Amino acid sequence: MEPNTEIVHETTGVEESGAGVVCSHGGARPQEVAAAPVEQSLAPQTQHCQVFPRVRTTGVVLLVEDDPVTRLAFQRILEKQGFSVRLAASGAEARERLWRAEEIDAAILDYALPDTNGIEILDLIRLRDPRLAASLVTAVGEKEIIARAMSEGACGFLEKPVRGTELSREVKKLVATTRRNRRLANMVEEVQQLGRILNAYQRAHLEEPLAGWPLEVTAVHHPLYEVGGDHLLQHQLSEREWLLISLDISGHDLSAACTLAYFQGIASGILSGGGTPEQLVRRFHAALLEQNALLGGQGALVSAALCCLVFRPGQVEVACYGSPQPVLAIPDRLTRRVGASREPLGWFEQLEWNPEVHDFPPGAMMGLWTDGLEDLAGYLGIDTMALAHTLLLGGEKETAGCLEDAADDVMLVTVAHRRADAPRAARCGCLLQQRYVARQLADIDELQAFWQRSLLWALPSISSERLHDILLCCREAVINALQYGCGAEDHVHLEAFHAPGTGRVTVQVKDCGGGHQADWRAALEDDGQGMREFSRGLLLIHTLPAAVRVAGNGSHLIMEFELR
Amino acid sequence: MTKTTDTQAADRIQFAIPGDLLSTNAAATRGQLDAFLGDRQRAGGWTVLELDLRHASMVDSVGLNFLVSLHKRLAADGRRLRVLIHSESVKRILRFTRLDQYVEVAEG
Repeated sequence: MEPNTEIVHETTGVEESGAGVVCSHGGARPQEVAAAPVEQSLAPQTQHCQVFPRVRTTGVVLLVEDDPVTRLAFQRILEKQGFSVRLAASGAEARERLWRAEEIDAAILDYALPDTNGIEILDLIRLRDPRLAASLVTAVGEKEIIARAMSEGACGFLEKPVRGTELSREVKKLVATTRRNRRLANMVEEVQQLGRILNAYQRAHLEEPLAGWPLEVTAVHHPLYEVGGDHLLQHQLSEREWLLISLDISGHDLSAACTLAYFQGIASGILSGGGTPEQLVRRFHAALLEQNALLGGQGALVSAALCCLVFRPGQVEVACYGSPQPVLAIPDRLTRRVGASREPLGWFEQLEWNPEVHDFPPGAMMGLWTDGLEDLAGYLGIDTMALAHTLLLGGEKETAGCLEDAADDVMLVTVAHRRADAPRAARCGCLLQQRYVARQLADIDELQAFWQRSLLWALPSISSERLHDILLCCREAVINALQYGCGAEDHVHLEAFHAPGTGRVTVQVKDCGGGHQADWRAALEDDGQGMREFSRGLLLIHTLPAAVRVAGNGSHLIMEFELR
Repeated sequence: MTKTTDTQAADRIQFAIPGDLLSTNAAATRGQLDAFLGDRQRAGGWTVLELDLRHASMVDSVGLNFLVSLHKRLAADGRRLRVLIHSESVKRILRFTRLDQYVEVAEG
C-alpha cells in the first residue's frame, strides 16, 4: 500500500488514488515525449527527482514502457519509493540503457513495444547481465505470453491495469532477487577460486614423489569442477606400512567441498596421532551419517566412495567402499580386480572392515581409479584399461584429447615398487581386462568390436594386419572357452597387455575348465587332400601369434604378438 | 546382405560377400549362396565359382570351414572354387591353414 501516493496527471487524466495507481496502456501520447530521444526523455526524470527527492536509493530500475503516461506514472511511484529509474520507450532505448556501464537492479518490461517486445528485451538481459531480474507487463489474460516470458527467465509478470502497490512490491522483489543472484555469483566465484587453489595443491602433491616411500605412485587427476571431486591421500603409517586412500565424494557443491575438507582434517589428526586407517574410515563414515541425519531427508544424501590400500613389504591390503575395485597386475599372472566392493560410506549404519590381503611382489602394479574413468570409458565404448593406458603413457595432447568428453572428475593412480632399473612405462600396459560368461557367446561380434575399439584407442599406430591377427585369436580363444571351457555362470578371462618398449602385445585367455586333448598339429598333418573339417580355431591360435604358451591342458592360453 | 554378380566370362559365376566371413554370419551366407547356386545349377555351363572376399579383413575358423565345405561340394560336381581377396590378413590365414594349396586364391 502507498498511503501517501496521490498524484493527478492533469494532461492525460491518468488517476492515482490512495489505493494505488491505475494505468491503462495506450493512453494519450504527447508528441514531444514519443519523439524524444533517450537523453531528452530522461530530462523529466531529473526534474521529477527534484519534486520527489529520493529518501534513499533502494536500487536502479530500468523501466521499458512506450506509453508516456504509464511510464511517467510508474516512474513517480518508483522514485517515491526511493528507486532510481532509468527510462526507455523502445527496444532500441532499452538496449542502449542495458549496454551502459551503470548497474541496474531490476527491469520492468512492457510486452508491447513499437520496435520489439518484452521477451526479446529479456533475451538481451540474459545476454548482458544474466543475474538481472526482470518482470513483464502484459494485458490481462495473455497467458501464452506470460508462460513464454517465464520460460525465457522472467522473474514475474504484472497484468494491466497495474496498481501502484503491485508495482512497488514487484520491483522490490526483483531488486532483492538480482542482489541475491549477484551475491551467489560472487560466492561461486570465490569458491571456484578456492577450488582452483586446492586443485593446484592436489596436483603438486600428486606430482611430487614422497620421500622415503619404496613405492612409486603415478597419478592422473582431472577435476571437472573446482569444488568437491576426487582426492588422493598418501601417508606413511610406519617404517614398513604405507597408506594410500582414494576418495570420491558425491556432488560438486559446497557440501562436497566441506566434506572433503573435513576428511582431510580428521585424516591428518587421526593418522599423525598414531590412529589406524580403520579408525579414520569409521570416523568419516560416522560423520557422513551424522551429516545426512542432520539433513533429515532434505537434499541429496552425502556419500563417499573410498578405496583404502595399505602396502607392506610383499603385500597389499585392500578395502573398497563404493569405489571401482582396483586392478592388481602381477607378472606372469592374469590381471584381476581385487577388494570386494561394499556400499559407499554414508549410506547405511553398518560398516564392515575386513580388508582383503594380496601378494604384492616386485614387478607388481596396482591401479585404482574413481568412477569418472569408468564412465568416460563407457562413453567412449572402450575398456577402462585401454583408457588408463593412454592417460598414463600418453603425452599432454593425448591426455587432453581423452579427457575432453569427461562428464565427471577423473582420477587414476598406479602404484608399483620403486625400482631404478625398471622404467615406469614398463610397469603399465594392461589394455583389455574383461570377464565373460557363456551366454555372452551370442554377442561375440559386439565383444570383438569392443576389443577392436580398445586396442585402436590404446595403440593407434598398430598395423591393420596385426590388429586383425589379435582380434581373430581373441575371438577363437574366447569362443572355445565359452563353448567348451566353462559352465553357464563360470567366467572366461580375457586380458591384453602391452609393455611399451617390448614391442609386444600379450593376450591371455583363461577358463575354469579342464582343457582338451585336441592335437591340432596331428589334425593338420592328417588333413591331406581330404581337407577334413577340424577345429581350425586352434590352428589359427597356434600359427598367427609370434609365440604361444599353453597351461592347464589348454584352459589357459598366453599368446604373444609382435607389433613391429 | 550378400551381393551377387554374374561375370561376363561364360565359364564362371561370381558371388560376393560384403564383409568378414565369421561364425556369426556363415550360416546365413551359406543359405544365400545355396539359393544363388540353385538358380545357376539349372542354367549350367559354368565351371568356376568366384567367391569375392575382397571386402573381408577377417575369416575365422567357421568361415574357413565354410570355404573347405564349399570347395569339396564344387569339386564333387567337377567344378572349382576361386577366392578373390584383398586383405593381407586373410591371405596369411589362408596360407597358414594351407587352404591356398587346394583353392585358387587371387589378390586384387
